Order: sequence, then structure tokens, then C-alpha cells
Amino acid sequence: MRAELAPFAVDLLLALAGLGVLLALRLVPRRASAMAAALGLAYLTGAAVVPMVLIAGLAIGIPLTLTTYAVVVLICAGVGAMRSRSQEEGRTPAAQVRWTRRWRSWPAELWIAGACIALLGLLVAVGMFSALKMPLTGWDAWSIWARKAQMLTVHDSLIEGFWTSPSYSWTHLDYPIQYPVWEALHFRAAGVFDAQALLRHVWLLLLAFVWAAAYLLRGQARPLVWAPLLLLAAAAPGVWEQLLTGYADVPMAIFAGLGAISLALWLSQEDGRLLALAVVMLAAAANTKNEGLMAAVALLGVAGSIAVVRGLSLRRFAVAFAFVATAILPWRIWTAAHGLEGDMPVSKGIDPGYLLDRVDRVWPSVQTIGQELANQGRWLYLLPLAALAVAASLVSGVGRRIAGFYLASFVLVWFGLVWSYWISPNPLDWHLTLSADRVISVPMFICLAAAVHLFGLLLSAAGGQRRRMRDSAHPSIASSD
Amino acid sequence: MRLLGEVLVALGIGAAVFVVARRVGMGAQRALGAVVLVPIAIAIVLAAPTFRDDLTSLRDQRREYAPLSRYQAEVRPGSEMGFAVDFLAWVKAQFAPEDTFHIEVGRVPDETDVAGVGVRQGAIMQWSLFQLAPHLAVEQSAKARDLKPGEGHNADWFVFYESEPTELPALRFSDAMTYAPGFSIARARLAR
Repeated sequence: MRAELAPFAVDLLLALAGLGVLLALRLVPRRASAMAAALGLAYLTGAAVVPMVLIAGLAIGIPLTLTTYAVVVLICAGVGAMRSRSQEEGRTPAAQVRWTRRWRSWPAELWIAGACIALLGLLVAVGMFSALKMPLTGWDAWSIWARKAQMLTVHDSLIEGFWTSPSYSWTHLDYPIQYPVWEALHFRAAGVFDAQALLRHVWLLLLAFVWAAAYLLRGQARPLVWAPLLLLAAAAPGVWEQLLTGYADVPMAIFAGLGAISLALWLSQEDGRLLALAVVMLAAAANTKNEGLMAAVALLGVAGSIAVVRGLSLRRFAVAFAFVATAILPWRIWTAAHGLEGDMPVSKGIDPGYLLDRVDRVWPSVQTIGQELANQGRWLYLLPLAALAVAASLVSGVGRRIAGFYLASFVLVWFGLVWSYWISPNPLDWHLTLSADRVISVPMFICLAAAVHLFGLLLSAAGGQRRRMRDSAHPSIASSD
Repeated sequence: MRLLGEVLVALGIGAAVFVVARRVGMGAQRALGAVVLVPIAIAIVLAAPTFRDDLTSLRDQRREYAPLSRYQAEVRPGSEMGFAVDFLAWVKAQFAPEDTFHIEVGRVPDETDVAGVGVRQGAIMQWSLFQLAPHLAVEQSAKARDLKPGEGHNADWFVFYESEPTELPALRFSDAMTYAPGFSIARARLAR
């Protein structure tokens, strides 16, 4: 019984910790209905912050145990509870929620959104049920991620016999360990490393992402927009099938996608709390995979450039950038101190001679990534929809800054992926075959964010003054539910 | 390029929807709304079969994996690749909790080498190290599978996978136990 249920308690506590962080950031008001509405975002915030803290602890010798996990959760929740106290006096009453009205008076929009949510619920329920006994069969799932999780389950620290041993160098010991720590927390709660006990929980990551994206963008996009688009994303085999391989690409893309949404919202509303949320999510992406670091740098680079052009607070942005860097440093310092190096020759990646010698790797990489992005059977038209949303925004002038952000981010991440294949020491065909269908997760999540966000703004503009979204102050943050 | 074509089709649909909406008398703003909603509706309709296939696929996976025992699930990747998972389970049962090991994987005649490493040998070694975890491998060279002088010196056990203890100096180990021809283990002489 413990093996079945206790890992779900880990998820619950992650949501509690994340709620504390959101309360501390004042992204969510201390009201039951508002906190319930933010549970998806809370779970991912907890799944971002708690493992990062535990990794920092591991790097300085603090053991990874359920006790330290509970302490971190309590600190996050406690800080949130204290910080949110001062909010209570000035809080606004809860808004009338449309689905509390009689169902006969629901508008068609609500029925459509409700149908999409019901289908999403069906998919997640069937998915979790099907994953109850599903083993980890993906190569990297057992060879890299679960192997490390197993070590973090059996041992409380980064034992030398594994983490710095040349015998295990092929398991990419330098890779960030956010995902193995998340896995290990579940295994520890279960009391045993069980290859069948993990994949049911990855569905929670997907459910939480959809929930969080809808929560963050609900002030910008009506349910008629976000519900079908997020259903498309969840139902895309490129998303859920990958999650069930036990690879870390989609979990990383989930963090990066929420980071992109938060940054886009910050660019349009200049609300520092959204920038803080972006920091949390991008740091988690960077701590999950090296591609996540690249995505974080790309997204922050684009947002910073737009901030400079638009005269936004650069001091805030610099602080945010520093926080992301600080969050990823513990693991990087630990690996550097123990002589662990990755197989990507990053320093050569800016050497013109090295790049020229390997320029024949560029076009095949561009082509292969393009082919994967064009696989609509896997990605359910998210990219064409995003392209239309960006084009419509740029032409109409609605949300042009945000469209520019998403477009430039997509291009820069694509360039980053091509660059990584360009400089990789691995045989190109082999490398592309094994990874191209996975590494496009981040660009696809940027497409999803762009489609929901921009279509939402365009539909608001189309609805005129009567339906115009209240985008002068972000309604989904703190002041209302 | 297919991707460019798909993007152009999407933009074309958006433009066509806008033009048609204007022709039927919608204002520019409402036509913009149609540019949003019609493509989303088209995408949902096109994706409907995929959604059905998703559910079918998940149901099939459930049927496939439900009968697996915990052991069968744990060794599933290795058994799918044709590795000797039962031998490795037997090996693990011989180890004391803190025991370490060094594994010798033999080469098959048609072994394919990539960057100096036999692909099959490498796969077997990676899987074996996973299945034998949390026992730790020591002095396991990732590049060369052959036991070098001194390599595995500090291991408690030698594991011979498709190889024979006779290929090593007998002084290095004792108490060899054979699971099947080509599959055996031996206690290292210097083991704790």
C-alpha cells in the first residue's frame, strides 16, 4: 500500500511547497478558491523549487532524505503563509465564477471548453491507469535518469563510487539531476526503487502544465481558445508518448514553456512577480537538461533584448538573470570540482575554424529538425497554428511585442539546436536519429504558448470593448481568482 | 521543405477565412476573431482521430503491461534486447549488500564497433550495470571491455558474460561459479 500511495503524497507536498512559493511571490491570493485554481502551477513550482534546493544541498553535503525533503517543503509553505498574511487586509472579494451559474445559462463557449476539459480529464485518467504497471523501457530512461534516481534512492549523498567513477562515465554523470531527484523522491516515498511505479506520476506533470498554462493565460485568453489548444498539446503523441518513455525532454520543455509564458506576460505587463516565476521555471529547465539551459539563455536573451528596446526595468531583469545563474550553479560547481565534463565541446562552438571544418553538419541538422517539426501526426498542428497566430499578431498589431518574443525565441532555440549538432563530436546521422524527435520539445512548447497567448489576445481584440480582456492589470494574478 | 509548406497552408487558411468573413459582411475585428476560431476548429477536427488512437494505444499498453510481475517489468528492456537477464538476477542474488563487481563481456564475431567500442558489448555492459545496481561496478573501462592488468583489482566479484574465467590469470580470482556455459562469476582474490 505504501508503495502505491506514498509517492502521491510526494506530489501533494510538492504542490504545497509550490503554493507556498506562489503565495510568497504574491502570485496567488490566500483564498481557498484561488489557491485551488492555482494548484497546477503550484505543483510545477514545487517540482521546480524543491529539487533545486535539494540539489544545492547535495552539492554541499546535505543528505537527500525524506526528512530534508519535508523540511524544504515546510520552509516553502511557511514562508508563503507568512508572506501572504499581509495580503489579507487588502484582498478583493472573489469574482463570480461562470460555472457556478445554472448550467442552462452557460454560454456555448463554456460548453466547448467544458467538453475539452472533460476529454483532457479522460486522457489523463486513461493514461494514468495504463501507466500503473508500465515499466521504464526507454534507453535513456533506465540508462541515465532512473539509474541516477536509483542511486539517489539507495544513497543519501553523491557517492564517489558512482557519481565520480569513470566506470559510469558513459551515463553522462555531468547531466543536471533535477529529474532524477524528482524521481528519487517518489521512489524513497515508496520505500523501494520500482521501475513500474514512476510513469503514473509523469501524467501529473502534463496535467499540471495544462492547468498552469490555462491559469497563467486566463486573463489573456478565453476558454474557447485555451481549452482546445491545450487539449491538442496534451493529446499530441509527441508530448505524452515521450513522457511515457521516462526521458527528461518533455519535463524540461514543460518548465521552459511556462518560463516562456511568464516572460511574455512580464514583457506585456511589466509585473515583477511574473519575472520571478519565469526565473523559477527557467532555472528548473536548466537544471533538468543541458538543452534546458540553452532554452533558458535563449528566452532570457530575447526577453532582455526586448526589455532594452522597450525601456523596461533592466535592473529587475539583471537580478532575474542572476537568480537563474545562481540556481544552476551548485550542480555545475560540483561537477567542475569533481572533474566531470560533458561530451559537447562548448568552448569550440565559437571557434570559427572548428565550425568551418564541420559546416557540412548544418544543413542536415536544419533539415532533420524541420522534418520533425513538420510531423503533424506527432504534434497536432501546433506549429502551423502558432505561425498563423504570430503572423496575425504582427499584421494586425495586436500583441505584436509578444509575437516578436515568441518568434525570436523559437528561431533562437532552433538555432541553438542546430549549433549543438554542429559542434557535437558524435556521428551526425546517429546523433540526429537518436535525438531530433525529442529535442524539438522546447520549440513545440514555445509554439503552444504562442498559439494560446496570441490567439487569446486576437480574439479579445476581435470582441471589441465589451469583451476586451482586462490586460492593463493582469487579472489572473493575486487580485482576483 | 514540408514545414514551410505547412506554415504557408496555415497562413493561407487564415487569409482565406479573413477574406470570406469580410465578404459575408463581418467587420474587420470580427473577421479577426474568425481567423482565430476557424483554424482552431479545423485543427481539432483533424486531430480527432489521433485522440481516439491515443486512447486505444493507452488501452493496449495497459493490456500488455498489466500481467507483468515486478521482476519482469524491471528487466523488460534487457529481455527485449535479448540479454541474459536471468543470469544477471542470479548474479545479484550471490552478492552481499555492499559487494562491488567488475564485468567482462565477450565479443561476438560480428560485433559492430563505433568509436572503438563494440555496440553490443557496450549495450550489454550498460544494461548489466543497471540490473546489478545498486551494486557498483569498479574500474570498468567504458572504452575497452577487455580486462586490463590491474583493472577490476578492487572489485569483490568478476562477472563473466559470454566470456570465460579461463581468459584471465587464475591468480586473480577464486571460487568460480558457473550459471551456464559462458556465464559465470568468480570471487576476487583481494575481495574484502
